[in-house]
Amino acid sequence: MYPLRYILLVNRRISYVNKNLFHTSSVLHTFWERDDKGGYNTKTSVPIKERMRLGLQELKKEIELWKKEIKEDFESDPVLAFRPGETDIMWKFGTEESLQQWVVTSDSDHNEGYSKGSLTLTNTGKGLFSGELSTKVPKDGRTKRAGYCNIKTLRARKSFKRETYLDWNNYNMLVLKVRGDGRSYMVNIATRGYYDVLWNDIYHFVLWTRGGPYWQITKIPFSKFFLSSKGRIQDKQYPIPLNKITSFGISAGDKVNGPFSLEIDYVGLEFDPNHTEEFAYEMYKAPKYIVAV
Amino acid sequence: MKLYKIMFFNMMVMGTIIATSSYSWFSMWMGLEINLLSIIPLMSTQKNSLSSESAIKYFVTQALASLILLMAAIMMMLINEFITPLVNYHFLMIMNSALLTKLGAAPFHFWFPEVMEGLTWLNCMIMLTWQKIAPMTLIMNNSMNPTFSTLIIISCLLTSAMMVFNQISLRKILTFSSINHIAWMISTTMMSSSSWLIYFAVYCLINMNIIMIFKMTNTFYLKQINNIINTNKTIKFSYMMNFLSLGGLPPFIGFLPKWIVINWLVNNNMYTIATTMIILTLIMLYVYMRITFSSMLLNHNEPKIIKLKINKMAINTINFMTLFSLITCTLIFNLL
Repeated sequence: MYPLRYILLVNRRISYVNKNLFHTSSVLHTFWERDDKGGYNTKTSVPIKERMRLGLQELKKEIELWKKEIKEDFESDPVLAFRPGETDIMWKFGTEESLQQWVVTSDSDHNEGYSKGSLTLTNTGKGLFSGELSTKVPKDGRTKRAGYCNIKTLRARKSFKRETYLDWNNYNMLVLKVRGDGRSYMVNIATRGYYDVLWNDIYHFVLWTRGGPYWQITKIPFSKFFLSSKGRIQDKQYPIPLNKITSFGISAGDKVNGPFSLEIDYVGLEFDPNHTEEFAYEMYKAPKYIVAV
Repeated sequence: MKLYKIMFFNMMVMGTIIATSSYSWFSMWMGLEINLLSIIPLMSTQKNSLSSESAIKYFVTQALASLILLMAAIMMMLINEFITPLVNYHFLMIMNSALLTKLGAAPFHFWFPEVMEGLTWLNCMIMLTWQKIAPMTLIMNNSMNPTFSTLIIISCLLTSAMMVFNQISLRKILTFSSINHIAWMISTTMMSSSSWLIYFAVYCLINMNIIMIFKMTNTFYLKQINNIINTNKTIKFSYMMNFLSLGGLPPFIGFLPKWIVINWLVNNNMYTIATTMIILTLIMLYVYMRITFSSMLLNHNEPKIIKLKINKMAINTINFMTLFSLITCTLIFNLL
């Protein structure tokens, strides 16, 4: 009954309720999300003339992209046969352009920690996600935990900056060729929904690395990914909606201070007909309004 | 079958019957709203997080369309002092646009594929068949401007032909096929309500056949068809015949309604629209043939190990109707 009471309270009673609690930060009473960035706003104001100039430059590129899309729609047939052992590579590191598709973030970006991370190319043309994790918490009274670095791909886009989804329905395995340092990383597949309650839906699985000089090819079935929202694992688990993928990411945050490095060759997809598991998790039937409310 | 599902299903049926059998626009609107509100709990299941997203999107678009319908009906009554002659073109166009949004006709179709993608096969069948009855009946109750209806027909055909090309999801393919058939159904509304009834009945029959096969084999994507089609000869042939019937090829039943429409259009000297409709529907037929032929020709191995539990009696009976109904219908028309 504890969470249900908060959902039913009106806004003007929030301050009254907060006085009776031990929380040191404000308590969420609704599922409504004000901002799709979660309050971390990194927009910079650009003058209108500059925006118009940049927009015109983008226009040519977008028209070319649009022409390519139409041509592909008419010329290409959908692929129907997916054979075992064939890996379709989605992101491969090799050129500077390949790094443009990724965004690196860490807790020090918004002064919430002291970790640092970067994504660079090695001498052999592979991607290197490296940096230093620090679990030291900054003394600002708000932050309770720190120590993460993250790389994430940009959202899939069509021409004219239209956001779209990646469709991975034809595959059932995620394939990563990596060479780690023995630390564990978290593989994140974001399936950002249309409505605000679904904005922070991310599916996770742990990537254990060997640490040796040899490359490892890790195949993670999509049935093993578990759902979480804003870092909280959800009670009601669903299989990953493979037609609504928005981005892919890898996080380093295993609560151990020190340097980390993960060399990545490619991230790909595969269809394995021998893997018939639909979903690995289930929930027991609990009495109503106790869990998964 | 859960009790609430039976209740909401009955209410959904009741809503459509209220809408189709009412004498005033208000009671028609009421029937549409009852239908909408009772289908929403049927759509949002517990097994999939996307189904509730689909249900909300469906609710918002349909509620907006009902709102516009009610506004148009009230404005027509206010302007004409409670007597509604069927000459008020502007508000009739607004009302028809609202009804076309409810159907999912182009250019008001953008909600349709996204909503269908999150539904189970049973809900897809309800969306493609039952949910069309009330709006189409209301469209037949008012007169549609011939230019407007021609524009809608051409945009439906063009949209479905262009958007279906690179689809891999079977639900989306059936959605665009539905938009294509809506164009033909709108042309039947220009003829008579009985010709619309024939078209709709045949379309429902073929759709139910196809969806029954997909539901039995649990297929949602083109890639899965390759694996399942060769396990059972009955499924293979029924799947092929039903898709070709959906495309309007003789000797299947799907040819009959198209034949009726083309016959009427040519008799009324509407050659341009008839030619346009035939050519644009051929593109859809090309897509159906690409689906069925590639899955039949790519893989010939018949695995003996995989055994699917299928209701042979149902498939055989319904496919018999698909094969021989055209000859039966033409004989009946000749006798009458």
